[in-house]
Amino acid sequence: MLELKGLKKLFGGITVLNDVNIAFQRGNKIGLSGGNGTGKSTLLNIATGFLTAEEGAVILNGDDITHFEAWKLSRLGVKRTFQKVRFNEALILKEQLYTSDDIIKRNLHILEGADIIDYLYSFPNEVPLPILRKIEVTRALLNRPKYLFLDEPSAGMAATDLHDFGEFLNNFIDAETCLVVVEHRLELMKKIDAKIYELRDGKLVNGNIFV
Amino acid sequence: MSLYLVTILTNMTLISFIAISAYLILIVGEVSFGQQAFFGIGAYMTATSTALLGLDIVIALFFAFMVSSSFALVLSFLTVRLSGLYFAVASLSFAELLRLSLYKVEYTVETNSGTIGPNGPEGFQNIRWIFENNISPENFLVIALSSLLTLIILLIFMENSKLFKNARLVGKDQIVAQSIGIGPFFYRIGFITLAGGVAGFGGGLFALFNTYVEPSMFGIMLGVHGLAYSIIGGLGYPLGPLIGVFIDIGLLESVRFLSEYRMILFGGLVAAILIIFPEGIISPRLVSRIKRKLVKKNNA
Repeated sequence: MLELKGLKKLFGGITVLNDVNIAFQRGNKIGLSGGNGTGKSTLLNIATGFLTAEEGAVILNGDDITHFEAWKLSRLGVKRTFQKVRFNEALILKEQLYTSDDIIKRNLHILEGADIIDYLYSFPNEVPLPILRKIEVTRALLNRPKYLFLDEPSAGMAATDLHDFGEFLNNFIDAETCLVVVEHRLELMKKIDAKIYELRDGKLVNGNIFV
Repeated sequence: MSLYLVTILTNMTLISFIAISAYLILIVGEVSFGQQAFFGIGAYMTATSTALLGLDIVIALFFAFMVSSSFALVLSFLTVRLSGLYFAVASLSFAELLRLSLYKVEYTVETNSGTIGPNGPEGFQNIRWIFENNISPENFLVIALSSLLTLIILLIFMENSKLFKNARLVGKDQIVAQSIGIGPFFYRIGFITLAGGVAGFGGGLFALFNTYVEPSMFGIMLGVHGLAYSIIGGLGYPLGPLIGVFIDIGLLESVRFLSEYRMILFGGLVAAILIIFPEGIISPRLVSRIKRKLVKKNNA
């Protein structure tokens, strides 16, 4: 279980998160919604180690990991994707899965399910955005994430692409993984049947909910 | 081969070590203006080991590698929180600090063949290893060139390793690197240290070949050239820096009649090449394209 306890985060005097409590249990699907600037991405960044909160703690299976660097959290199974896909323009996508051919072969069903095999030898600028998003998720899935945070995956995606993307998540996120989708649109969260929480004025609106 | 040609080729080989050391740091995403200092430390170390202590060349070069990489390790720890412009300035300051310190190092011994040992601004004279062992310039070229080739072959093999791929990712995008569990810290430390060692090894060979070294030889222009060779040659493949060296020295030598105007030509050349090849001649993208072609050919 990954718990965020009493998180408080300020940006230049503005309180973005104020006493936020939430727990992520493996096997759950959770949607974090909220308008622009409500602190959704900040929450994700703190949970994955890319930011540190002023107050509060991040607890993984009872261990305090508040001050762990992001790469350590990633090794512990807390993975993420990015709102703006991040790829190296100079490398073919297969190399950007950052894994061995062996692991790719063993997980071929994921790559087939994501419909990305035809694009593995392309450069990022030759590939449409919905495919790049699926490749980003696949990259995380190949490393068997225990907690997977998706940051605004629907940004720049048309309704049909989003449907397809949701289908892919439903097929390949298993009971070993807690999926957290951070979004301001609700379509995808409904599609994957996520439990939805809303951030408003620095708080999770439904109060301190433990899932 | 004429002595002139042998000398030029040897110089090209020796400066390639600096170019490769700059390349190694560029791979992890930093720009170092300080590799000349590690070259200098290697040179002084080798001079001390062979001329003062009478050690074997293999041991001397090993010392050169170890000591210069230790200094680089110190630099990498001191700059652990710096990147980009700040790292560049810090590396230059560190290099100048080391170089200027050499002006103060004095420990000389009188022998039959003259004064040996570091002697402040006058440098370290009478490094007679090459004469004592009857090494002709041609033979020395063979020694230097085979060292360089060994290094290149090693790097080419390592290029496909996880270590190098991760290092390149750290250099390109630390956030993605972190998100897949790669700690940038270790790669930066490792590559900056290795780069220092490579420069030091080259410096060691330089001291033996030149038979005389002084602090002013290891000024910033040496490092800038090394850096420029890597950038011209491209960061896609370990041969990039060598191509940079070849283009530059080859061209600069052929226009020696222009005397001091050659440096203007050098600057212009760097600019022109980077306009045509913004990422250097052997860019990472070019290497990826070639790899893709080869894969497709194999599958067909």
